[in-house]
Amino acid sequence: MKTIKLNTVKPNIFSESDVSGSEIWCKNICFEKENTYLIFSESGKGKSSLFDFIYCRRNDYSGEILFDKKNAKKFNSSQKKELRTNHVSLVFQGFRLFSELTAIENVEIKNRLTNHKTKKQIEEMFEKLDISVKKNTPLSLLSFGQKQRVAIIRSLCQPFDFLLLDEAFSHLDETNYSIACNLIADEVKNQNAALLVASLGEPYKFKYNHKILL
Amino acid sequence: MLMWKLLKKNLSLPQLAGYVFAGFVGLSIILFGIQFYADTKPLYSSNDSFLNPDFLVINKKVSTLSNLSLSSTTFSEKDIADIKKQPFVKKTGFFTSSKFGIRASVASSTFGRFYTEMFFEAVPDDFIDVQSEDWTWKDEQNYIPIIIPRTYLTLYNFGFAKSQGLPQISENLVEKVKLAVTIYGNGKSKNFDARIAGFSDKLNTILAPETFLKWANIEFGNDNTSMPSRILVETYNPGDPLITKYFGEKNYEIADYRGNTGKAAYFMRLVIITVLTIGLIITLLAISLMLLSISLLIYKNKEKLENLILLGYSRAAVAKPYKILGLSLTGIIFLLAFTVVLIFRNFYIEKISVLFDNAEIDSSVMLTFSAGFVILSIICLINVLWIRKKINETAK
Repeated sequence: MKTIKLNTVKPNIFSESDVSGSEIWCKNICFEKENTYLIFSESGKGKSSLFDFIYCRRNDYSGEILFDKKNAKKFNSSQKKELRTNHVSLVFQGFRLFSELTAIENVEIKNRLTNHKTKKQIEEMFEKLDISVKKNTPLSLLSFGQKQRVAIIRSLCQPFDFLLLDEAFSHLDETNYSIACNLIADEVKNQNAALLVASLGEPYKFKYNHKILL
Repeated sequence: MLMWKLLKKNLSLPQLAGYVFAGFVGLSIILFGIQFYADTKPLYSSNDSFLNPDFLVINKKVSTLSNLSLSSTTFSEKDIADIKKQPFVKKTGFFTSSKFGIRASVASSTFGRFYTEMFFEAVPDDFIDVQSEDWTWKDEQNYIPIIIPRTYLTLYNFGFAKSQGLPQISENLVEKVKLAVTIYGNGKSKNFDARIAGFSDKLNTILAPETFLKWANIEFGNDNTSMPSRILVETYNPGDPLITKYFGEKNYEIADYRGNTGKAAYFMRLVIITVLTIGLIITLLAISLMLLSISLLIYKNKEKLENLILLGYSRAAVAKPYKILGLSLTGIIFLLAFTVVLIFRNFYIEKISVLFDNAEIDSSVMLTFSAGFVILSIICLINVLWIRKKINETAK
């Protein structure tokens, strides 16, 4: 997949005035591979909605989203599965981790599907993000910041053309998010993928080709 | 397995145990009903070796008046026409009697040669169930097959032989004994070999093939046709209450009437249908319990299921642990129920064999197994479809 095109997309819950000034809603915009995008806005402007639309989780919007030339709204469940395992990876704002499993199992349950990383590579990522002592701890006993790092590792355990980060560093200190940013940037570069970072304005440590106000 | 670890969290053991128990009880009752019916069925159908069980033998009651020749024991043409008109009658047939002398002898190492006067009767061939090559007589053939009442043999075995210290003989053995038969009349006589081709519970007479008797009556007898004193009636259902009513009113007798067994069989069927219905209801309740538990389980795991699908798991992959759970529980139910039916069967088979010493219980458990398998497959199918439906609802 090379491009994600948004043609006059507008969430149904937003009125015309809600989206005035936005460079994405109701506009035509194209996200391309090998580019890095910062999508910034204050709260409530629909950053999570945008990612939900792209991830085919919701389709309560007008306009259309095209993956290359395929309409996202017309995806069936197996196309969605293909999209989520091989083309688009997303770090959810709410993580969507499983509290019944340990930290490393939460990563394995994704990697088992894609076989993208070896066990050793996964352990190295835990090491780099300084949570390797917690890898066998049940997720429910982890702090918010630790969960966030598990979610980031999980998102890297798959092939992707687009990586979406939905306020993925909100609970990390600068040292930790710097490490995380490097880890992510390396993976994105390896995969020649695009990176879409949603943030309240903080640019973190990425080098952007585009900064877009939502 | 991670999926299992994830999804087993909200499993309710009491619910699953309830399903297994209720399903086990319901399926056991159904399978037991089927097995019991198959096993006891032969007991309710006549085991007359050659006479179709739907046949009745009718005669008029012999009374003092008939001794005085004031009332006839033969059926008039009017009587016969009336019987033929009855709704339960499918077909009628008449007895032909021998009108010549018969002397039979059998060679025995104990007695030397042993002579007796006897008689033959015949009924139309299509009332006889002996294989056709055994029950034929062609012109001047020297061999005559005959059928004798089973009571003759019983009388010999349990009355005569026992008291005289003679060996008891089986039906198979008797069928190998050759009788020398001489028939005579009209100033002629001829020798034949006779062999017993079958035994009858219903007919108290010695039967020979009709073709033989007709021929011999012409050759040796004075063939003045007379009205029959006994009639064979084929019925649609020997348990029909109309039968006893009609013949009772006419003052006719039904030889060895199995109408009561017919009624018992009908009653038995009724009981078994009731039992099967109860079993079916319990099984249906068990299935609803299972469907309810699955819905509840999927509902409780809704968020997890959604997250798994968002990770890229297919709906089928997510549904798999639930399907495996449902199918294995159903499998356990089937195995339990089938085992219990087999155990009970061993128990009652003994009882039945004691009660009915010559009952031929030749039914197998295959019927029950297949029935159980069909029910099992239906439950599994419902299970799988329901899980798919619920997962699809959740994944929306």
